[in-house]
Amino acid sequence: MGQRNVNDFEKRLKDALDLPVDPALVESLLPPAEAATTSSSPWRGWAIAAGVVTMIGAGVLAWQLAGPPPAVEDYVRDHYRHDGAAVLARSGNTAATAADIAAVLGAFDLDAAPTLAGQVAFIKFCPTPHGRGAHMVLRTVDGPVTVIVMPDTPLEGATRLAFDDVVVELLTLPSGSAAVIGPNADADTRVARLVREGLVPSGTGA
Amino acid sequence: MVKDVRKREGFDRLAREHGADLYRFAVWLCRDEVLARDLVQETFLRAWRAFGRLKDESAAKPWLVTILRREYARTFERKVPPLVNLDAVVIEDDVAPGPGERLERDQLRQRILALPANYREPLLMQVVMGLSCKEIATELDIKPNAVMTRLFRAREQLADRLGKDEAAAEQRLGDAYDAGNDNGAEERE
Repeated sequence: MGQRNVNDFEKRLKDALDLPVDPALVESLLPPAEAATTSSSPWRGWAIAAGVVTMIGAGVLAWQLAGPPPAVEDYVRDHYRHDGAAVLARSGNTAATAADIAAVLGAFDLDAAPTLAGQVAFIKFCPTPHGRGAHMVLRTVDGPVTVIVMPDTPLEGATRLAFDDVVVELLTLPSGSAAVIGPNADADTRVARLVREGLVPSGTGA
Repeated sequence: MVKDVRKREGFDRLAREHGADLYRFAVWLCRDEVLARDLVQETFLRAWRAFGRLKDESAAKPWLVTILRREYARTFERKVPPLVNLDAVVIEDDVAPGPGERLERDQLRQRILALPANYREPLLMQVVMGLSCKEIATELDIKPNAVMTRLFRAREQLADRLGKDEAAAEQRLGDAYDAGNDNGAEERE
């Protein structure tokens, strides 16, 4: 190829690869404000450890410096406001495949029983107060209902809350907890039962 | 507290700066828009958690690519999406090219998707993410010379196939022209 052809080819290549990206998309993918960070280096780790020992000795509350994760209620509200509507929109009229469900729930050693799996329209990983979990949209007679599974997050506070135009039921699971976010309390209760019965440890008959 | 806020602001700035390219890279890598979104979201989350370990902001791009590729291998290795027409999964430019340019671009996109992964990935890292040969070599754990060879062969294959596509298009155009002339001659007779 001559120089002119090379330049022409490079331009065509760049144009072909340069897919248009909606600026709002990147914004929607940023971690939620409450997502916790971790220590930055081994030295920092040692410094924190030494600090904790010192603080215990001095009778200072170490948890204040460790930066406790947000309350589950705050996390659920902020997370749902962050991308709840976008995920609902993405779920459309699709149904998640068994492989999709296994790929996400399997990461937490969980399976969905057929009664639950049959209603999952969409599933993805999502951040949680203590790591990550699963963000699902279930297709129900009451319309789409969102379920956020938080495998490492225990439930301590309230079990119900409401914000914007949704009602949330928080439930304790054998491992961690889950939030059911739907249009009303009755719909949440039905889905909560489905989740309790249908979310089972991997390899237990799902 | 102020330090945390500044840290978060620094991360958000970095993520916004590289987010679009990272998303493009993810789409080309996994060939699925929804998976690409999840991949970038997870990459940002992991990057934020490890942000304190990034000492040099100029190394942010290869650092993000490393996280994204690891996440792709870890999360999506069991799910390999089929080859798709990218126009079906991405939003279209505001300024649409002409039909000829669009056809050319679509052909090139399909040719890029069809490249073997060991040629396609360094090409994406170079053109989409703007990584240097040295950075690509580190990322792929191969020597810089091998990167240059792969980049050369990727371009060579694309140019070769594009040349064939264009020749075939010209042939079709010529055949149509000849057919039109034949019909005209028959009508005159």
